[in-house]
Amino acid sequence: MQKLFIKLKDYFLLAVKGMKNRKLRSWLTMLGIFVGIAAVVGLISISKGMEAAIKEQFSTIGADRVIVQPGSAFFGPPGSSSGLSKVTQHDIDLIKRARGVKEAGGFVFKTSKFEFNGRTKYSLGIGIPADEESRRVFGTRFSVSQGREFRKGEKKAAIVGNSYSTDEKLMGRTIKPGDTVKVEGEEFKVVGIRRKLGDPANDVSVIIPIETAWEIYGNKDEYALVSAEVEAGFRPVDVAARIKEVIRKDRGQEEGNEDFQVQTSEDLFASFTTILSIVQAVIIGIAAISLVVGSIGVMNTMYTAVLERTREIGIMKAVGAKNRDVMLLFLIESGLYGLVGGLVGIAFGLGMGKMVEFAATNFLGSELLKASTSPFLILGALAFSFVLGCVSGVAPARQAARLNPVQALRYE
Amino acid sequence: MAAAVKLENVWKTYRMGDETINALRGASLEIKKGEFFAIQGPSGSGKSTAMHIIGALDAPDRGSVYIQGRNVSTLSEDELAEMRGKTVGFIFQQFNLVPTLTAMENIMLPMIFQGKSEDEREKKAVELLGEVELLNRKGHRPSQLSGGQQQRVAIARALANDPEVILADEPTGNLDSGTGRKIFGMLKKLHDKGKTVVVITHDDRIAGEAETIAYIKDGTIIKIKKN
Repeated sequence: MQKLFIKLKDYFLLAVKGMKNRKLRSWLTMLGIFVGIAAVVGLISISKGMEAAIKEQFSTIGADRVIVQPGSAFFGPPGSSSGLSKVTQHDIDLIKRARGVKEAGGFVFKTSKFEFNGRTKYSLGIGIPADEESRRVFGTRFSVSQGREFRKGEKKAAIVGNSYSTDEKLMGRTIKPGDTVKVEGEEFKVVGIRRKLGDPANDVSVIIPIETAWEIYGNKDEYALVSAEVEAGFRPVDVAARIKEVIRKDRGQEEGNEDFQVQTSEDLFASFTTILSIVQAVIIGIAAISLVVGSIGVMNTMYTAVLERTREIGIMKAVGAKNRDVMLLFLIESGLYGLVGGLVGIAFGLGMGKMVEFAATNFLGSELLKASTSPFLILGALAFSFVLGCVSGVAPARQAARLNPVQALRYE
Repeated sequence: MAAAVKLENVWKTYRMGDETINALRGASLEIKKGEFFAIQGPSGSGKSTAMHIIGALDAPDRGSVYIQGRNVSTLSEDELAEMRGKTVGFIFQQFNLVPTLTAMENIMLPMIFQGKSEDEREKKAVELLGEVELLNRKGHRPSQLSGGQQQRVAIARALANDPEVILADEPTGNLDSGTGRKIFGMLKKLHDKGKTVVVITHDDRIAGEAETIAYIKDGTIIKIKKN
């Protein structure tokens, strides 16, 4: 056992010597592995980071929420009320009466013309209930970090997205509570600055009371999204099913043909992560192709090495190397191609992830794109690249091990 | 005296492309322990094949080979490797050093395959380098050494695992006569120290210095002469 250990160490050193002697070829070989591993590591790190960021976004909505939106699951995206289907105050009243519902409230949103300091910008306009009770279901989603929230009955007050208070490039100067802004041509007094959420759309949004929003958007009594808080002791799934049934019966619709959607916030989160994991699978599939190409490169290099070093193999066998010694020697070498290629690839991939994160935060203003680096990812990628290298080297190493020593020594 | 190597009616056939070459056709010989033995014959006579079989590099098609009393013809590839590593030291006409390794590393190579510790290997290699007077060249690669120096490294390598038998295939064939004499002198010194030395040569003068000469022609031993 100890002998084997000494041998392994020496084979490792011999393999490194072999690689050093053919530097350019070694680097080119490793490049194949490196590209694939860099792609896998970089993309996984970004998508894991995205998953974490989405989770964080959802945490601002709350986990025990049931969300009701107009539109069927088959026609158009959720929230796109086609005029045919609507969610109204009547529905909210129904939802509130459903067993297990503690509170319910809704909001509307629409891209709106936003004016301040003589500049115009089109941003997300959101209408939320002015009374605190109906607002509570949204958790901290619409809370302010400066100034105050809306008061009941208030009409011409606005809360602006966080970026307006920090980035003077947006409107020429920063917006403070007390300033006057225009939404769709109407004047509003800024009463608060919205909490920073990290995604660009919401950080440059403008929030106004829903009553006023209906007036200026011309969609009286329509909600784009209704959120219901589930009472403690009830499962959101059960409550969602009950709400669905109540509204369906109220509308006289058949099961499966509803013109509204009911989801739990967990469902919503799950559907996002499902999309993300599909994207991940596709990306990994593409990276896998490049890894296959890389491993063929290692195989090719190893076959060449075996051919070039035929005489050397003969010498080693003459001085007492067994078949498995020769095999091990070449396997270690090909494993090293994988390992070193993997190491460089991991470093590059993580760097790539951080660069995307940097670009997203600084140029897009989005904090949703974050690179996540887990030791599991790094070690996994490292082990994988080593194994890949070894596997690619099996056939060439076997060929080397099986060489007849006499013929190998004669090889010119 | 016991036999170090014994060949009994050994046959060996090679395929070279489409041609079948009968390298050995019923060769028999016996090399005693501690003997200085020469195998002499013209090129193509089968003397290299004889050396491969004596050195356990190759197994015969027919007949028996005994090295240190063990029947080699029945051994597996790995057992043959073990036998080579422990009991035989090869010296080749083309030196056959590993080009990427230094003189010192070339000498240590056989010891690696025997799983000897680094300290042990280094100690032995330095000792052997001293014996072949190349201590000042230990970090040089084969390409930085003259032919004579390379062959001295090869001799040191052959001695690395303290083998019973030293097998030299035309050890002076690629060297000028002065250097050749020096190398030959070293082989004789090994014999004086008690090693069994087998030299394959076509050179009458070298063969003339051996205790026993076996003449080989067309794959058979035609004459054995004791000096």
